[in-house]
Amino acid sequence: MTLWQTTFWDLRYYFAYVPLGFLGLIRWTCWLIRRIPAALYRPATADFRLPLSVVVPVYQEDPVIFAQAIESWLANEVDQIVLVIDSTDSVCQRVARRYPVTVIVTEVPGKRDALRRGWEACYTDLVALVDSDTIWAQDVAAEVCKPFADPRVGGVGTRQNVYNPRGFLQRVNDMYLDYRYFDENSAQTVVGRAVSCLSGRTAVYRRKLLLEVSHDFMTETFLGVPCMSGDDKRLTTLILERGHLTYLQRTARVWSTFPGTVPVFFKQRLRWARNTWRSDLRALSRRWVWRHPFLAYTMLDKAVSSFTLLISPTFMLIALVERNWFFVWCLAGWWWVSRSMKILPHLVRRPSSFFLVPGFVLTSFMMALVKICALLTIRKQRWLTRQVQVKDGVVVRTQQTRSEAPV
Amino acid sequence: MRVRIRGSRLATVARLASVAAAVASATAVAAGGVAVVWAATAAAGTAEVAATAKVAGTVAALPTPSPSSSPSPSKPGGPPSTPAQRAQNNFLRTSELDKAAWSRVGEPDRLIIVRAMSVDVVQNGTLVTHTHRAGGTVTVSWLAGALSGNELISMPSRDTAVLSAALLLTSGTNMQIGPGVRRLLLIGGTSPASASWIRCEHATLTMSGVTLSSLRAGNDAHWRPVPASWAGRPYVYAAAGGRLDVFGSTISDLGRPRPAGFPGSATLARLLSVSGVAGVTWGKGSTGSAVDARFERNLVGLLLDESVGVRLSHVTVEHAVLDGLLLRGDRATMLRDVVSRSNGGSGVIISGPGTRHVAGLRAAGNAAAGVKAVTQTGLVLTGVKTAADLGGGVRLVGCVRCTVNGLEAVGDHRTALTISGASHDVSVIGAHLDGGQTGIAVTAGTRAVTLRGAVVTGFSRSGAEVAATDVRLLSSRISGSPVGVRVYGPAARIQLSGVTVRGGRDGVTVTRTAGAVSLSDVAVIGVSHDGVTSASAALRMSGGQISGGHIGIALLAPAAIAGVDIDSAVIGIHVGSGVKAKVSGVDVVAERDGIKVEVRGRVDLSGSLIRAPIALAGAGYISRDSLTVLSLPPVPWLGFTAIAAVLLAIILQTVHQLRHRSIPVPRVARHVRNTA
Repeated sequence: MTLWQTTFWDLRYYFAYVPLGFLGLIRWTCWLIRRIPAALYRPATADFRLPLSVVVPVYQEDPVIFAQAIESWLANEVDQIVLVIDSTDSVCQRVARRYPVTVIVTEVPGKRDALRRGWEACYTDLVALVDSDTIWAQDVAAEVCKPFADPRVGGVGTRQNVYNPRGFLQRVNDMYLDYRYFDENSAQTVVGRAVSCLSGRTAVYRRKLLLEVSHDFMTETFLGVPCMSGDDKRLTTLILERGHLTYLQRTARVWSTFPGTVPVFFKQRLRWARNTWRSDLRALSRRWVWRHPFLAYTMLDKAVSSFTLLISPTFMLIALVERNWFFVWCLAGWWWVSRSMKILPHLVRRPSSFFLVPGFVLTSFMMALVKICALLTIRKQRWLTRQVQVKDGVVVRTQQTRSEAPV
Repeated sequence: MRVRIRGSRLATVARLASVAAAVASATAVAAGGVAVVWAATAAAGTAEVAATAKVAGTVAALPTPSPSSSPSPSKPGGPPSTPAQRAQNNFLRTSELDKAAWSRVGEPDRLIIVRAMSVDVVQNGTLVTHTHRAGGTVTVSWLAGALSGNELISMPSRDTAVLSAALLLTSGTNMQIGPGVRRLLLIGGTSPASASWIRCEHATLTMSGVTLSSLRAGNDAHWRPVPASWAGRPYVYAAAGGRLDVFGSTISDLGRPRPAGFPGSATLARLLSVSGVAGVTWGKGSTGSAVDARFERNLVGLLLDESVGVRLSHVTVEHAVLDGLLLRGDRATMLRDVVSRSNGGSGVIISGPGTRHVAGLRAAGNAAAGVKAVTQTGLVLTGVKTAADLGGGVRLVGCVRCTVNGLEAVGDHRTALTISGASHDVSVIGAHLDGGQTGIAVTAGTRAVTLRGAVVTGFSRSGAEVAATDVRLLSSRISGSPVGVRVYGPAARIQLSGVTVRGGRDGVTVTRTAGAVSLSDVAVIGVSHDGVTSASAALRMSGGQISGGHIGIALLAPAAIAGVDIDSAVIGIHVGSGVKAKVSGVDVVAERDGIKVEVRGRVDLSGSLIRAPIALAGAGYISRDSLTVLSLPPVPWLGFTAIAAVLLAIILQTVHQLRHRSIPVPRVARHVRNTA
């Protein structure tokens, strides 16, 4: 054999050392099923505008961030800004009074009631449900209206990123957000226009649809327990149930604060995971979801991945115990490379995140455990990061004293 | 003249009187060259009082020799007629006994002989003191008091005693050292005669909570021990019928070198019993025990020489100049948690006749082997642990029908387990060997050795080296060594079965001189060079697996290969020039050549599956039957798929970037920085 032939045959067998097992093949296939349509995503470009109100439930927000957010909304020249502020939050009430906004002070704890009060107080066709720490780009209002040119569209979501991320956890959150908006939501928009969740940080709905779903929204229960969190998931699902479409307008960009400490990070993730399990399990048990097969597929895939994600670290643990260092290094390298490929949109935006990928991989394994824990505690209704809980079917405060630090 | 003495008050008077009588007696018998003082002893205010105190004894002066009425000292055999004559005869008899003992024990300059009822001092062969005692246990402080005039035992402090003479405990005596005296120093010198030592013959010596060490003669205030090279280094010896018990004590800096002119090892036993090379010796027929004891810096730490029933429990022997623990012909020895470490020779040497079961041995850091068994028959070694011994872990030399169970050898230099010296019928079961030069060495001249269940890891030369005959290596694992198993020299009838070799350079190598080697169900995994290399004309290989490496099986001599699975090797089977091989039932997946046969070589291939880019290669001849299948190797589809998936991800991102290249950067307040 010639040297080239020898080299080729030898090199070929190095491919065998790429530790992609059959499960990895399946996972990559599932990802490509999302990634291919996501790559073909385009935002709506129709020059379409409707009157837009902003409804913001406010509860113990950082006053500086709150003020910056209000200013960003005002910069969008929306028709109306309604701030529903909890009665215990006098600081934010004082901040709100500095701006030309409508302030509703509410004695009723809980985000859902605040939202409801807000959209009932609006008069525009479109209502943007916004978190009090969410800062808008100057063209969000214009961009979110464009998809509504299609009368079938009932709700529109925006692209979110972490506000000035610092520290490992906030950088990881930013990576997760880019992964979500460049992958899952984009694919759901392209295939079927049925985004599974319009994130509550900024979600725009037709007001009349919100009024229709008010009752169902407020009286949601799961296995007999009234639901408190997961309002964004619930609204999206109610909209989709009624045959409307949901759309991701990725050119509408917003920034929001995310937790930087480990306990709050995991509490938030646990809450979100419970919301997702409740919403997706309920949806998969209903017929409407099967009208959106791609949406159903993504829900199933998300459920299954919670478990399959733990198989790879199990092999790694076994290899570490057996001191099979070659396999350990191969698998670790593959984790780094494969995850980097899956979050390429974020890496293109922030190349330095490449060095955070190993930590991101380990965090995702922990998130799989969190998801399983959430499944096992699916009936628990606690905000975890707010001092409210459901007691005897009613949302009540768990702590009377206002904390100066926002959650 | 008889004087009755009562009470301690008159003890001094009595002593003075006895001295005066002694001087008179000495003057009277000075012509005979023997001076004896009979003294009554009275001890007051010490524990020894119970044993010997307040003796209302008699002080008898020697009678003036009368030529007519009493037997002359020169004629001890004659019938005594008077008490004085009887006393004289007794004295003469004692003197002769003492002289005989003195002569027997090497004629020390100063010798204390403890008898059941007396304590004698012999200097330069002459009985100088005969002290009567009432029997019972002898202690150091009592002895110091009884011999206070001789300065043979001094007590510079309340718990320290210095022995300046040899001490012989005779039949029926019982001596206790400690815990009152916590430190006993034996004076040593440059000549054997000048040294002090302790021997018990049909006597009992007990040491409890004491530090026993040597002290240089004429020493200054620094109290330095006697150097190991000095001929007059003290020792402790339990002779026939003696009993030596050591509890919670430390015995150090004892044991003298072999005097010049003594013959070699052929008479070592006698030599040892006479010269006391070991620091502490249980001699022939002796018994006793050592519990929670330490033996440090002795010439030889501890010797059991044909002893019977000695019990060693929680004993540490360390820093001996020569070997640590010698077991020579001992019987019914019980060992428990015995550690021999950092000795200048071997940690433990087992020699001498008798069938023995030895357990509970640990050796570490010895200059020679950890445990060495020499010409043993029926020896069973159980639970031996060795570590970092420079001469290897365990050495079996000339052993017959011996068994080693549960050996653990870690970090021993050279060879962890050596079986040599025409040993035969040796079994080694469940050995765990880790680190060193060679794991197991079965040398030429040895035969009938079975090694089962061995775990051999991390040796710098080879896991096992076999040059013996009739050797079986069964169900063992070898890893991390450049060569897993090497069969060489006059090795013959070697069987490897159920052996796994992992890592390293070569798995199993068989040299040209070896004969009749059989490999069955041998697995060689992850070697970097050759799985099995054989230059022996009689290799039989059946079953098993070879994974990885450059050549799976390299044959430089005729061989028969059957039922072997070979994969991930560059060349599955390589047959050298002029070599004939029979290959049947093999499954080969090679990266380049399945079977390669050099010029004038020949392979008869049957019932096999050969998968490689080039299934059959080389200029030699390969015959194959119809059942043999040749094909390309399986494609690593998963690997290719992974590469394709990564490339696809990059392509998709590129497409996405191109489709969105015209989207502008969002306009937002300056304090928002994450806007890329």
